[in-house]
Amino acid sequence: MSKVTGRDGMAAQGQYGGRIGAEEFHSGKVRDILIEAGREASERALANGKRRAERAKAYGPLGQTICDTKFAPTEKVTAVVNADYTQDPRSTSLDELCKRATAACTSMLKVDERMRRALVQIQSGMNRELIVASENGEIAIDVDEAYAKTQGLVHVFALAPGQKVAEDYYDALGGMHGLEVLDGRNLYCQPFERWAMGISDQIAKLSSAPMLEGRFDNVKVLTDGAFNSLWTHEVNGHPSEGDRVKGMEMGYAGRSWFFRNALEHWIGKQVASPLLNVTSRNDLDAYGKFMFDAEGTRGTPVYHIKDGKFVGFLHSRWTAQAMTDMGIANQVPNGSMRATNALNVPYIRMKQTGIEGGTSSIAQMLAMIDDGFYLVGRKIPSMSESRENFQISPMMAFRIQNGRVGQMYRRVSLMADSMPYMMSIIAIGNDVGLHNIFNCGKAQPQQVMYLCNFAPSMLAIGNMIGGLAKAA
Amino acid sequence: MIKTQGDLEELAEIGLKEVMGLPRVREAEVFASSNEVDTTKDDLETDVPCGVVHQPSCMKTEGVGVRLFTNDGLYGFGFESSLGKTAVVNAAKKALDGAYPKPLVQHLPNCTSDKPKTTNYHDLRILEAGGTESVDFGYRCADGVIEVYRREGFTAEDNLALSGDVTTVREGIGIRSSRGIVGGDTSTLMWAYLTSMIQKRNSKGTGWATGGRIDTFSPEEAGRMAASNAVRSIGGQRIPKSGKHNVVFGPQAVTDLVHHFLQAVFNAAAVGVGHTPISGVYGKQAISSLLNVYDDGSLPGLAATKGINCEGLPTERTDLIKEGVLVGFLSDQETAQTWNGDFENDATKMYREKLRKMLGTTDIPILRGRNGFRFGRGGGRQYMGEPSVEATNLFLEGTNPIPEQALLEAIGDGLYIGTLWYTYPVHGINAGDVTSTAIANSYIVKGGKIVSPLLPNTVRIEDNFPRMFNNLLAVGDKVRTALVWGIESMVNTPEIAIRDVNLSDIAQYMSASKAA
Repeated sequence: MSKVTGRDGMAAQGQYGGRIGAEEFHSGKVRDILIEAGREASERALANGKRRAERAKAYGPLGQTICDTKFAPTEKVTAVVNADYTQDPRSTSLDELCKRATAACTSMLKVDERMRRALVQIQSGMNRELIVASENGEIAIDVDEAYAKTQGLVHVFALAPGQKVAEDYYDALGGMHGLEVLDGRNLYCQPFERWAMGISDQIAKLSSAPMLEGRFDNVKVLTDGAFNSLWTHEVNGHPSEGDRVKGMEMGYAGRSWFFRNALEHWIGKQVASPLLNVTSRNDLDAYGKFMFDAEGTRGTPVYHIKDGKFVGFLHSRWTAQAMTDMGIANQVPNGSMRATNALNVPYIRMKQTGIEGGTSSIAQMLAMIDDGFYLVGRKIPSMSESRENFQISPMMAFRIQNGRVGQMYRRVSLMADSMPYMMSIIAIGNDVGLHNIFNCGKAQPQQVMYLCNFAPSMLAIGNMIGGLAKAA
Repeated sequence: MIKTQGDLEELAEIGLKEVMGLPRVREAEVFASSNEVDTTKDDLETDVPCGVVHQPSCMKTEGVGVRLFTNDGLYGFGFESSLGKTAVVNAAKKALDGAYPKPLVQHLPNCTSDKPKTTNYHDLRILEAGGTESVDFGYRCADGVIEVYRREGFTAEDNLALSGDVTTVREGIGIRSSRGIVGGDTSTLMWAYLTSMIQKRNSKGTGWATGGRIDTFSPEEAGRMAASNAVRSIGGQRIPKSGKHNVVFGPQAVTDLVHHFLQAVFNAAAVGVGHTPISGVYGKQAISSLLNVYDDGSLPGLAATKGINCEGLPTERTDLIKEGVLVGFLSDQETAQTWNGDFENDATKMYREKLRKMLGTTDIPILRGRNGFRFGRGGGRQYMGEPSVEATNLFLEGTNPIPEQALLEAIGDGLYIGTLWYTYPVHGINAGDVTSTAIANSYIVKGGKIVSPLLPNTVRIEDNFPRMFNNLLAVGDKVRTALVWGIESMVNTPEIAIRDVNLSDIAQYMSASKAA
């Protein structure tokens, strides 16, 4: 990918990316390809700048805010970051992986007679990113960062006798290492096959569970770390992305309920219980681990919510400068601009975003529930446009009465308005766990990003929605 | 610029000869593709610094994919991101290295004597267009927005905003197989999807445009549509209370429901594994008798039209639902092979036994398998993947359509929902439960008349797809094309009125409190 900021009228950007095949790579054509990419990017940048200047005049008062593209400063850097692996993905035989996947699949089906279908996908590879950038005629960024990534994904279907609706679930086990991820070097500290069979067993049992009927408003809901990792991803992480704040993602991915405009925002204001602290980092041993983003900015930790107050965004150099120009103080790039592949346009993406641990145990939180629910695992989210409301389904739910775990249910979801829910947080658990997200989508054309969210259990007040109620 | 169809076909031809000369190869297919996707992102705000067009970009991908069967019946797939004889051979060697048993499929697609119904439908002007033209598209969207706001007398102090993308795709493919498949295709398509806001008035509108040729695509019109809808949305109100409401769904809202739910009902690959919200209804009433549904990738002039699919077979019309009865399925060749019972082994016997239960019949229909595509989620026809079942130009039409005003009268009191967002099967596709939020272009209806805009982002749908699509009140008579993010197929649909949709009034705190 070549990104150029040029000036013809006004300073503006243009980008051009493409795949380079093995043939071009080994026949010494890379230099010519990169020069051509730079030329194409420049053409777009200069055309952009010229038209921008024209429109700034033509739009009159409606164009008074049209200006140069500007970037916040970042440190000059030269760095080499090596991949961390013991079993090199490049020396793996496809045949071996195929046999492993087939064996896992067969074992999963045999776990329980309720199992109907199992899909296994294993992938392992190596990425290396070379980022070189110039500023004011000098090389300012020279980064060579490599990483391995291995993942095993499962999708299972189970149907219990007498049930009409099958239970299906998918999840992945992965890490930023070689094939040793499948042998135990992962967040679950177990071999892929054992984890996959555990999923099959859970879903098979769940397929016999009744579906929750009705709707239960304003009840106490204890949510486990896996559920909360998805919850914080959707409700805190995404609306903290600087480009949403700038309104760039209104069309597809949405805006941010934390920030309406320069005069209406929650920066420095209470948005949650003082118990809640949400942060992003990039140094945990999980997806989303990296040192430098696609602009060559070093990834640095940032708080989004501190003691319940909203305090910070994920920024690129452009969004940090743009927000500074909007009059919002203390906005700096924090290494959040990433692309799935080098040929894609980088966007602001979460890295490793999550909720810091509290002091309550599960037992203590259960004891606080007279009549409520315990949600375990994560399934599917649906968010409103600025993330101000959410509906997220767990893998399963349990009725809690007088602190005791009761009936297991499936086909349930938790729905609530984001800020009231966050304000209602009663307790936060001391059991933080890391959970990889392998299918976070953004951008046009769509880019699927691998990242990590972490969270403990949490007790709050929300609305439980049962499935059958909708069919009535 | 992408490679010519002639070059790609020539490469596929030469490449196939090389692959067939490799040891162990029984039969093979070579698919070569060359794609360029230009995306121009709009960013215009009258209250904060902006650029109008933020980052115009182009993504180029070209390479070859090889599918083959070995002499001992194993199947393999490999690809290379280069165009050339060596790349084809390397892709084939990868396919051989990773070849594995695939008991449900025994051979590559057979050729046919059918000829493509649509040829030379691409626009040369788009093929030859460079970066400057694509930058222009983005500015033209903004021109349309500014034109409307100026005409309506809005000023910068109203905090006007525009965001969205214009995408131009240029795709070329060449395909040859040892089973006699000979084909090539060139297509050009464009779409714009925009959102505009009058932030001081808390109003929002969306607009879009699609086209296969420059003279059928108007970025200005997409901009005008978004801004006009934002103007119409001023003074939005909330629904009086959560509960059941009659709803007219506009084309974009219907498109969202189609892509995330209805398509699974007639996607043969999904149905075959039970991944559908409505099962056991082949030849029976699946949804309301007020709807017909069909797919046709061969129609000239539409953005999602292709001359041949990505398996080298001509596209055609497939009838899917007639008066609510499920009559057909979209399929690729692999799925068709298994459904059609081309051959039998233990795996196909088990698959077809389960399929009969999924279909609710002992007579499994014969599939023509003309919908195998290698779409890149908004990024061309990709050599990197194997074909899968995809729709092209999907059509919904009423069996007894009525005018738009009559649709509103049919619902009496209720809502018109224009744009939905984050529509997902929240409890799994099998359960069919729908959740989604209404984000723009929506109105409150009383006595069959629109009485006020609906405040954006204040309504969540919580319902069930089979229930909704079996409770149609009426279907409109005006068909419009709409699209959703990341999906190449386009839906051509009228408005649809549905009875008793369960809606929740959400996010009241956003209206009650203004921060800072």
